[in-house]
Amino acid sequence: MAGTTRPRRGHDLLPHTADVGLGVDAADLPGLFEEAASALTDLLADVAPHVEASTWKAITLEAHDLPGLAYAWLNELIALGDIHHGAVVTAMVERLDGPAQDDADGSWHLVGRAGIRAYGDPGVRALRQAKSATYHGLLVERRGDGWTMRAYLDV
Amino acid sequence: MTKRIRTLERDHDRAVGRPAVRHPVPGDPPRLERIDEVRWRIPRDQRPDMRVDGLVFADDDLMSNLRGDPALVQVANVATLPGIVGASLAMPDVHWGYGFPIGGVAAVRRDGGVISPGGIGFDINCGVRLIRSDLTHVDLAKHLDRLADALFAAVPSGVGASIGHRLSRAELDGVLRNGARWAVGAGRGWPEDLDRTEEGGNLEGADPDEVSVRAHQRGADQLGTLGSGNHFLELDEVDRIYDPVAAAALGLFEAQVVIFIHCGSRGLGHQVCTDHVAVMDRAMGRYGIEVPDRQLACAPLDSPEGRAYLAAMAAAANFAWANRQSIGDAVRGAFERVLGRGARGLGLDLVYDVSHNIAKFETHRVDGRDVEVCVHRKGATRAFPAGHPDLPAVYREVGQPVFVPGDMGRCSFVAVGAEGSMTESFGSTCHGAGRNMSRHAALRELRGVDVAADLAARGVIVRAERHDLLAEEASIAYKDVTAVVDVAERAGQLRRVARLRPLVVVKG
Repeated sequence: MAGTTRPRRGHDLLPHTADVGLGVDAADLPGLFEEAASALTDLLADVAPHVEASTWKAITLEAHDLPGLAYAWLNELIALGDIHHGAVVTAMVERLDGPAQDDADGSWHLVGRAGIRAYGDPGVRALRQAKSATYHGLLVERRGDGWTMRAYLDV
Repeated sequence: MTKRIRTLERDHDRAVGRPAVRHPVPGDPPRLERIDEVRWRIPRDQRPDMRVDGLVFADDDLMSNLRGDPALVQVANVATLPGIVGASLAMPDVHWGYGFPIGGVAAVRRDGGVISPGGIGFDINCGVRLIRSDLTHVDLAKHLDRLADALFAAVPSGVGASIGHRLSRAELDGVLRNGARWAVGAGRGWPEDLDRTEEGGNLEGADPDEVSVRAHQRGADQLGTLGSGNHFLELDEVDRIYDPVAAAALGLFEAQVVIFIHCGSRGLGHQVCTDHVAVMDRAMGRYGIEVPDRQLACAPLDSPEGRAYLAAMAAAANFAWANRQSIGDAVRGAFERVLGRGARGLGLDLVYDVSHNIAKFETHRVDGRDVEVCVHRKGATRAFPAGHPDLPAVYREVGQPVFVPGDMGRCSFVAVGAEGSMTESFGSTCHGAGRNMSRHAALRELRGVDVAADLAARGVIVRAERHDLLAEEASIAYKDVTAVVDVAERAGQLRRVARLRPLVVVKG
C-alpha cells in the first residue's frame, strides 16, 4: 500500500449526557467492525496486553443494511460478554458481504468469532456494563478512502 | 493494566481530522414558546411530521441547561409517532437519551397507535423500591459500617453480577410469568409486599415464549443482582417531613432510616429490547411508518410485532419486579444478621415499588373523553393522585407513592401523585434528578478526587466495586433534584412528603 493514503485505524469515545458513543475508523469494512469490537472492549473492560481468550464463540449475523449489521454485531458482543461474565478480548470478522447490486431486498451478512476471557482472570477487569448498542445516531459510511462508524450505547 | 482508548472525551471529527459527522439527533433545535413559569410548548407547526405539540416542564434554570440539548429535538421526534395523543411530554428531569429522551412520556391511542420499545428503554421496568424501618439514625449509627458491608455482600453488584447459579428454564419462565409473586412464593419476602408493588409486581400478558433464548441466557443467573451504572442500594435518613398525614400513611417519620433499591431487569430485559427494536426496525416499512430516529422503531399495537413485544416486555417487567423483590429480601436478611433481630420486628415493611421504564394501558381523559391509551414512560414515574381506582387501598386516600432519587451526595424525595398528573402528563412525573454531564466529563472534572473519601467526609459511607469510577455518578454529574421536584410540584404532578439524606450507598 505504499503511496496510498489510508485513514488510520482507531477509535475514541464520544460524549453523551447519559450514555456513551463510539467513533471508529478503518480502511475496510471487516477492519471497521473489528475495530468497533476493540472500542467496545476498551469501554467495558481493562484488558492487559497479550491476554488471550479462553472461550471462543462463532458469530453469524444477518441484517438488511450496514447500520443494522453494526447494531447486531455490537449487541452480539455485549450479550456474549454478559453471558460469560467476561471481556471480548479478540473479535475477528472472517466474512462480511452485502447484497448484489441488482438485489434491492438483499441482506448483509457477517461471519466471525469472538474470544472471551472471564473477568477476574489475570489481566482482565470489568469497567462498565453496556445494556445495548442503539440505533440512535448510528451510522456506518464510507469516508474518503476508508470507513467510519458511530454508535451510541446505553450504559 | 493498560488503557487503550486514545482519549476519553474530545471531538471525534477533529480527532481524526475530517469533516464533521452530522449531529446524532437529526433536526434543528425546536422553537419553544413559554406557557408559564414551569411549562414550555414545542409547537407542532414547526415540523410537518409532528402530530402533537411537545410540552416541557421546566423552570428558567432547568431550561437554561436544556437549550441546545438534543433532548428537546427528541421531544419533537417523539411527537411524530403514529397515534400519539395530547403532547409529547418531557418531565423536569429530561435529558438526552436515545430515540426518546430520558424523562419522556408519550401516550398513544390503543386503536391505531404504535408501541416503540425505545420508549420504554433497554432496562425494562427499571424502578425504585423503598423499604421503611422502625429505626432511627441514632439507633443505627454504630452499625452503619457493618450494615454497609453486609448489604454489599448480600446483594451481588457490579458488572457481571451473578447469583452463582443459573435458574432452570422452568424456574425462569415462572419468574417471567409471575414476577414478584414468584419471588414471594419462593420465600423471598412477604405476601403483603405484593399489595405495595405497582401492578402487584405482576404485569398481565407476559409470554416467556416471546423472550429469546439469548435473553433467557443473560437473565438466568442475574435474579437478585443490582447491576452497575446508576443502579444503587442506599440507606437514607428521613431528614424532613413536608406532609405529616401522607408521611404517616407511608409509615415515615423524621430521623427514620429507610432503604432505597434502584435497579431493573438486568441482561434479560436489555436483550428483550435489543431483539424487538431490531424486529420493529425491519417491520416499519410494511406498515408505512417513518420515524426521524431509527431508535424510535415501532409497530402498531395490534400488529404481530407489537403484540410480541408487549408480551416480552411484560415478561421482562416481571423479571425486574422479582429482582427487586429478591434484593429486598436480601436486605431484610442483612439487617437481621447485623442487628440480631427479625425483619418484622425491625419494621422493615415495603412502602412501595414503582417502575419508571414501562408501557402500560391506562384510561385517561383525551379531548373530553375517557380513552384507553398506551402510556410509554421512559425515565418517568407513574404518579396517580388520591382516589385513583388503580391504587392499593392503603394509599387511596393520599395518592400513589412516588420516589425521586437524587444523587449520592445530596438528597432524594418521597412524594405522592397529585391531580395535575392526570390532566397534563398522563399520570406521570419525574423519576430522578436527571444527568447534566456525561460520564467522561464527570471523570475529567473529578480527576484526582477521591469521591468515596469526599462522601465519607460528609457522613456518607460508600461501598462500590470500582471506586475509580464513582466520579461518573458523583453529584456534579446530576441536576439538583430539589429543583426538579420543585418544578414537578408546581406543575401539580406530585406533592412532596419527605426528604431523604444518604447514609450508606452501595454501587455496582
